[in-house]
Amino acid sequence: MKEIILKKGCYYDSVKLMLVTNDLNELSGVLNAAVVMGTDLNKDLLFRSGFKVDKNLKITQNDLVIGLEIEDNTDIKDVLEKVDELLNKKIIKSTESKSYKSVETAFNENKSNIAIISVPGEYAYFEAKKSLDLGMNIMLFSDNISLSQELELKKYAKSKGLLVMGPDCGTAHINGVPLCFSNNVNKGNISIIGASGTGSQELMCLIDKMGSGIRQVIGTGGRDLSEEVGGITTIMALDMLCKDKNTEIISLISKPPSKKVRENIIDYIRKNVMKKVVIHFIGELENSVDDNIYYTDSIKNLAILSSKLSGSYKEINKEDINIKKIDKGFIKALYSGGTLAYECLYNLEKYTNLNIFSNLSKNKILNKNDMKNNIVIDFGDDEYTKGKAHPMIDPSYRNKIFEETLLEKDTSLIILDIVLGYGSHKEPHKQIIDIYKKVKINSCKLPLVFVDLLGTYKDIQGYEKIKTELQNEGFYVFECNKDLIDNVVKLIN
Amino acid sequence: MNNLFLEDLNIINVGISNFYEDLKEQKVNICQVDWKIPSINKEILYKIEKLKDNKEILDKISKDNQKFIEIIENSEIEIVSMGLAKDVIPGMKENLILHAGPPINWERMCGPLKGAIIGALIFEGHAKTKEEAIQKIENNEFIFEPNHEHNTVAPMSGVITANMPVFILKNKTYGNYSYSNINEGAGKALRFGAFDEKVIERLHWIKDYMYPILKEAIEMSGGINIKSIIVQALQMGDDNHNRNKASTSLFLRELSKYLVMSSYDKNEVYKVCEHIEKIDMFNVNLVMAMCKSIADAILNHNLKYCTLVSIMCRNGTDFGIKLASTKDKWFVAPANIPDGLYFPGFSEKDAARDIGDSCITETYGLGGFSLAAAPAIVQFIGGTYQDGVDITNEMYEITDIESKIFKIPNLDFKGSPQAINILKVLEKGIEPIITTGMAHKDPGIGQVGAGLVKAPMKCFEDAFNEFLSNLE
Repeated sequence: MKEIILKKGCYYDSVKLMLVTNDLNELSGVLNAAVVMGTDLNKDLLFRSGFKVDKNLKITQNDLVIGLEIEDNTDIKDVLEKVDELLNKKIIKSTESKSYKSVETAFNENKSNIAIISVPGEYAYFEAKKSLDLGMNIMLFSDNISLSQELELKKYAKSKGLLVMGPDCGTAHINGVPLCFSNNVNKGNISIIGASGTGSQELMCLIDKMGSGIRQVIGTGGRDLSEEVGGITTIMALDMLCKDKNTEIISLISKPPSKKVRENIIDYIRKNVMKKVVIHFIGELENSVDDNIYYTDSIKNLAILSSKLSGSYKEINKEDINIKKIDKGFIKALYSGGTLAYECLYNLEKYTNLNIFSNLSKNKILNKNDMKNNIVIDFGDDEYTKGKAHPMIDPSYRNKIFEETLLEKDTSLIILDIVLGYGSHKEPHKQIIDIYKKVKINSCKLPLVFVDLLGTYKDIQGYEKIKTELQNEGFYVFECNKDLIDNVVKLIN
Repeated sequence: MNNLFLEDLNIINVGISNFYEDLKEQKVNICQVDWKIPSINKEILYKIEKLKDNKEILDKISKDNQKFIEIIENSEIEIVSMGLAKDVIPGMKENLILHAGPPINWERMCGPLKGAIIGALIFEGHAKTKEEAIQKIENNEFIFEPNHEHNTVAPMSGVITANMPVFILKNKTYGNYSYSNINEGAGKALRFGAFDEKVIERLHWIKDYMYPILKEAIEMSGGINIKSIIVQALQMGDDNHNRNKASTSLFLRELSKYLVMSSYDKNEVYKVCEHIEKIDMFNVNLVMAMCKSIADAILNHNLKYCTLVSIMCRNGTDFGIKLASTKDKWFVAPANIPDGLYFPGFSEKDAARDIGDSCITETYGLGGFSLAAAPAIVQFIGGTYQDGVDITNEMYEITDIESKIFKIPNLDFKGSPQAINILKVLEKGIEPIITTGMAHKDPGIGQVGAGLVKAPMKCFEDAFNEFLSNLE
């Protein structure tokens, strides 16, 4: 029996709901369960899983939706009781850890200097503003924050000399402390300014593998270099890094900025920054030097040049792919990180004739039919994270699409990024492998799978162990997104 | 100059607890804020942000809020005498019936309130039976007004009529008076809507015997410092709303030497002492009147920019609040049904909605706001000691100060959460919590349990909008 139960006005964060869903699915008698907030995206997920959502039932994003498919001899009341139990279970950690009900009371007792904010986007503004009022720097993990709110917060922060990292900032590394998603890297003299997440992570991991070290990683949010925001956080970051004794090299990675903002940033660097600045704007193919400013044409080359300038560089492992060509068919790039997805999209568009649909470009994926094409998806993009946790925390949606594309007969190649490090899943490759195994049983020919394994050898999940397990399954594993993409381009042409 | 790179990171995590746990494991200095979706309309949250951006207004708010708190701290309050309502309560009339809570008309009143009014009319001699009373009411022979609008407060139905005796309290610092009636005791009582022969008989005894004896003793004393009694009682395990045992004992202790010198018949004085001894709740009327004298002192000042709550009360149908700044205006919403422990034989379906002026005590940091000081009452409402502490701690989120006068011994003598700030209530979506007895919804049965109830958020939303429009 399949049923949908609605609890109006019941809010839980998406991570909690994911854990509850997982626990429910382990129960005997439960064939399929989904416990989610009633956002459009989740309603779509429920629909895809076979639950019929009654159109007349007014479900809003503030309502909890429980989708249950149970065996006939199981009592749904028992299952619902279990749901209640799981939802209200208190995590009994250390007895001395006290939690607060508001930022003010937390601040009054602790006099903190930075707030990490990961509440739903429409309320993040209020928590951010309050934190700035109290004099704290902020890391805004939350996305789905409006442009005007971002601008207001950044202007306000600027007037108080405070840093706003974000919105949609998933990675930072400050004073040796990894914030949200980051990696276990060597300490060193290179500081990174990156937009949001995986771009910074890829860069810091490559630098680490190349034998250099990281001092600070500052996230600016994906829209900081837009015309409207004008690079407020980027400029503050440059200023702070100039004054930071231990920073000798500044590496800047970003999606393409607006022309005017690009000029302002370069101008600012010319006038105020004496240290070496190495830049890669994704999509730009410049490789040049202008006094202390170095332009590079890929994240990989950004890492190489930064390392060389910092004083120590060694080559990283390159994959030897002994495939001569790939079958005719579609390429499905399913990324959890925006910068990496963008790098892939850009290179494919520039160096192949493929017609590509992507949520990152003008060729938007508007419906299910559009998915039957070459696609590059950034699952961390705002439209995919409304009411859902970021794919690096909750990979269920990307996993679902991975399974669907594996089953499609016209898919010839699937590209994935798997991210290790702080904040990531303990076994981020496991579900991917399980899905692949499951599909393999019933299918004779499966598409190629290329994986960018993002991490350092020190990351807790065990880089080399995971690489081996993926390779044993038949996946091709790359230590660098550019290497992966170069190989794809070579195979296509 | 941003010094973040020179300092040790000291982090507040708001939201996904994974981040908190990850960093705690790495021994980083971090604390967690348990964030919940605000129950408030975002429009109001934006208005509050805008208000806080206006430094000029923020200063004025701060100044007026400071004055409010000053009045609490400076008020010296004494029980000075007693009198009949018609002789001492301002604006009292023979056909005026005072009641608890915000204004309400007969049709909308709950069972216990109607029962109490009928009983009062019988006591006054306006009617001999229930039917007669109702007929006269429906003939519009009587007016109903809130106690609060006559400097008065009373528990449960809180019905006071012309010939009922009241305590007279004086706020010596600010010169205003406040009033409350004499507690009849538990069980079948007027305030629960009972009006049988025994209830009426007792009301007469109270007027004819208890009142003159008490009045004489109080006047002989030259004034009883009720604030001092309450302060001590809080440190003896009373929450001063639902538990008044220590407070009542201290009151009787102070009065006893004057009662001994009474000019009245020893046997009647004995009965007065016996009456008080049997009523653990006796002093609730007095602590309420004490808080009322603070509230009225505040309302007598012009505090246009004050964002603090001066009055909270309910009448069994509606919950009403007043802000210090918006003076006479009531902000009203449906009263909730309390949640707690029921006496054997009773359940939720028997409970009346929240009723009484007694949450004036919470308004000034007592009752539910001091629950950590009263483990006995927490148990009574079905909770553990830690629950009491948690509830008190939550109230610090919505108040401006730790009281300079009401101290909680088991929180290391921390002052109780005092001065409810409407901006904090709205921003954090936390409603003031009240410990209360539950009355049976049918008149005359009495208390059926005790528990917790929250003030409805709507009152605060409406009050805030009015506050804003007054600033323009």
